[in-house]
Amino acid sequence: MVVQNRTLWKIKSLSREVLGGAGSENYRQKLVFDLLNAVKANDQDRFLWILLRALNAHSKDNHKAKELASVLMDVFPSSESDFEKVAYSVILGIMAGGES
Amino acid sequence: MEGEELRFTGNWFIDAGILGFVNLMEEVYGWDLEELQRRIKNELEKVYYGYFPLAYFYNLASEHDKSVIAVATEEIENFQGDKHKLLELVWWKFITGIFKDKWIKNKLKQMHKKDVLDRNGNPKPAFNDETYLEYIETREKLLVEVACDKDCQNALKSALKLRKAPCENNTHKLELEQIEQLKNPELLEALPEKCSKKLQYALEVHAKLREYLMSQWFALREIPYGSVALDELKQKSRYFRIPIDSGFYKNFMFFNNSRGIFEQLEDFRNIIEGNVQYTEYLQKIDKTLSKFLPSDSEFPNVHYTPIRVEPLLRQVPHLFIYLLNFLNAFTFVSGVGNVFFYGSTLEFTYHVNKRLKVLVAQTREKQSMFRITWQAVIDTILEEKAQWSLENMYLINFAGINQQNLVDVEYIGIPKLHASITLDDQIRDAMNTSLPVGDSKVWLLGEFIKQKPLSPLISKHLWNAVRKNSPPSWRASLYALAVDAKLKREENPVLFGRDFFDRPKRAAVEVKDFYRDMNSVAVVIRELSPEIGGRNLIYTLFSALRRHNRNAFVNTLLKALLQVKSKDKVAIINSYLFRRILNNDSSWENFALALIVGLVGGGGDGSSEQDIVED
Repeated sequence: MVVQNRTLWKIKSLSREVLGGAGSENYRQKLVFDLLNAVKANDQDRFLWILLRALNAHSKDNHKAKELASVLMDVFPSSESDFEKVAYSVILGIMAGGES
Repeated sequence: MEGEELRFTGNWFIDAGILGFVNLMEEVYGWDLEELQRRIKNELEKVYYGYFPLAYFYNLASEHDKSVIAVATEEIENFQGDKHKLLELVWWKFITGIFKDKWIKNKLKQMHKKDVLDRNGNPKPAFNDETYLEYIETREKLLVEVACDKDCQNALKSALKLRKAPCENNTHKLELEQIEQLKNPELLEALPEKCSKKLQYALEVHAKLREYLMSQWFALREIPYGSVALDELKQKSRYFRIPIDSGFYKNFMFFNNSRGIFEQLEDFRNIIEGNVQYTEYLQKIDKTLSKFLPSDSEFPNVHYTPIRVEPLLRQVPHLFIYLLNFLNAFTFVSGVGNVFFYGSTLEFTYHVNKRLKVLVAQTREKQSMFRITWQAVIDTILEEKAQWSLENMYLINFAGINQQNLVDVEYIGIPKLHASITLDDQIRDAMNTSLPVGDSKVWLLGEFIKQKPLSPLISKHLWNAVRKNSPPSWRASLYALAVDAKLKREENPVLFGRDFFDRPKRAAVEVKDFYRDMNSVAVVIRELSPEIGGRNLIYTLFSALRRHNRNAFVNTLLKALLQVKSKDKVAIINSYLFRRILNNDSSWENFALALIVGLVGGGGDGSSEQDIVED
């Protein structure tokens, strides 16, 4: 299944809203760094594990977090090139910060 | 067929001939296309049976005397009567006149009787005239007497500065040029009296021979048509053959050495009329006429059926006239070859090629000749705002003719999409530059028109800049990348949809969109370069691009960006990465290279700053 551009936009935007402002600057930097390493190794399991752990820690009772999780569940597991796109959409969302 | 004006047929080598015909008439009579069209409309027969034959042979002659044209033009203008009579008038009165000197020279330069006789001792047809042969014989005898005289031999040798003795085995070795030199009284006086006297006799005979030939050739125009004298003359048709040859047409009809002056006229008349019954040469079009075609007899199976002329003549009655003018369509550009731009209409093609001629004549720099050929096209298009013309434009180019074959033939077509991009002032301006690539320089616009991919060039150019630590051409590189990205995106369009037909209109706008985006992100990353260790990043990013590894490219860049304090700037780059690189499978590498332009750009240049303001 090829991930639609629309879905990527959604993933990016939800990631920004849910994790863009989560924790301290340092926390987010560490999170992005770990995620980048997981994409680089093309390790989908690790990427999801780090991401879901962060979601769990920082977004209790946040319906956007649930929405993001559900969109991600739709696209995972995916092909290498799709994973790359999804993963970077998440990372770029987090890096974009909390402001919309 | 009154009122039949010139127009293109859609077949390129016939059309090249039509343009060649127009060029010929312009060169000889100074008529531009409009004037020629007017004349064809009003006096078609005079053009094809009067003006054209004269112009064609005038062009074939090596020496040009414009006064002949002026007199002939007046006579043709006032001529009343049948078209065939007009052709005869032009032939006997003016065409023969054009070749007077060459014909006489060809006859005069035969210094030995054995050269004008065949193996059996009979006169060769080209020299079969009793009086002429007598003169040749007498002159030879007298020259032998001087040249082979012991006393005169050395005097002649030094007077004429000859390397070898003027006599060998009792035969003189003097040539026509030397005989002409000896007319000089000072040279003659320098010789011993005995020699100069003998030589004087020989020179007298030589002068008489010239006079005789002159009177013979002049008589051609005096002989009343159809008289007995003319019939007598027919016996000597080969003797009076018009001395023409062509490296291109070789033995085609009237160029063939075996055709005498009457046969040449007959051949030419039938060519003008396109009389297919006359000879098999006029029944087909093959290599004999156009070197771009295979030979009919050598490759009979190339076409489903041989190209026969009859149906073509119904559409283009003067087909052969045009085919004969094929070469006149080409302009010689030194360093490039013989060039012909072919567009969809005669008017447009005419203007482009005319402009090319003017530009070539004005420029002496050999290096820029290739650019000039294209400049001619672009200028004409801009002037005429004829976007549609460029869409169907071809460049046909050959280096030369060798053994009747065209060497290094090249055809370049320009697609619609390329055309509309070229027509945009800003884009053309930016790409109209030579970039250092490897050890040489490449003209960017030329590569684009030739439809070569530009991103590999820019990649090499950037690598050059990195190695030499010099700034890259910012604007040109980014525009080239933007154009290339646009073309990649258009590689597999859905045919015949609305989008397909709107493509060219949108192309330039989209290219500029891409450029703006690339430019702004390149400027941002250039500013961040010191903070993220840009110089060191370049190598890793280049290596990722070479492996077409988008993951590695984005990963490396994002890790570097994590250290940056200015989040606004990072946001600009991130947005670009998301839109142009992640969400773009077809041309992400072009957008990635634009980031490298920013990093390599180091100090950048003033123009790039200006661009941002302008855009």
